[in-house]
Amino acid sequence: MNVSKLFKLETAYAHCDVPCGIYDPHNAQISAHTVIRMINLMKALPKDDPDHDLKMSRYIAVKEEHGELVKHEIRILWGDYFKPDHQTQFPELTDLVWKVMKQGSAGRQTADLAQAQALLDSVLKIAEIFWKTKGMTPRRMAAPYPSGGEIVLPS
Amino acid sequence: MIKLVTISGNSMQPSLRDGQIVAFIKFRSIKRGDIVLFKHEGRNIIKRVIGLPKETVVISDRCYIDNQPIERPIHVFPLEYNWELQDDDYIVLGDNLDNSLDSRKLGKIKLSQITHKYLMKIPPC
Repeated sequence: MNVSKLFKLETAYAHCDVPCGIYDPHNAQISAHTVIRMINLMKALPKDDPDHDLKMSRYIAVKEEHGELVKHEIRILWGDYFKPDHQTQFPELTDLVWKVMKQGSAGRQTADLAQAQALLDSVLKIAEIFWKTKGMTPRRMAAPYPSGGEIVLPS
Repeated sequence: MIKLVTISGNSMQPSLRDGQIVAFIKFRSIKRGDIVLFKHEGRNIIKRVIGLPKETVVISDRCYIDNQPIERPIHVFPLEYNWELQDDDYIVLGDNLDNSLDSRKLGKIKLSQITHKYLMKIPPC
């Protein structure tokens, strides 16, 4: 028997994240890049490397962690920062957040580079929307990381 | 009379965990130590009552009510707080003091904001 199906449940916030107005999509971008980097390292790891199992385990663990961190960071923006006005102004926002939830999970479940690139692309688009809602002009620049790709910064 | 809520956040750990389903009930009185549900900016917030109306609450190395330290252990705070409470003012804190948005940030809570108090945890099915 599931209580939530029998009774209407509301949410009670045992707030630990202070709504201090400090939000930034940067961490989500870093984590999306980390997922890509881990997949690249996994694919480049020689099977005869004497520490193969150790290194592979670490890459997988970090990929798992950051696949979830991307989702966490975007959930905070979605739940605490973005307002209905933002959704009206950027109707693609809901779909992008939904994609990050799915692509973040895929980033954990697979070592599919295309999926990880798609995750980063969705995060970059959310980052652009975020900075636009702040009245700033987002700009894409080459990411200064070995994962390649781009990163969105405000300007 | 009874409201069921899902806890979101970790500020009431270890008493209440994130995701736990908890029953709250309409109250006749509020005493120190009660866990209450109150409205803040349209949201249900859950915290524990520390300061009651007409008390003076000071939080420094410990929590003092009318100059008397209360038994509940309080960590050393980086800041000091001092409230003179009026007839319908309350001070609320999270149990997880190192990670809680409570009166230290929100200030005094009015009686009119408090809607329910804690009744029981609903065990997982």
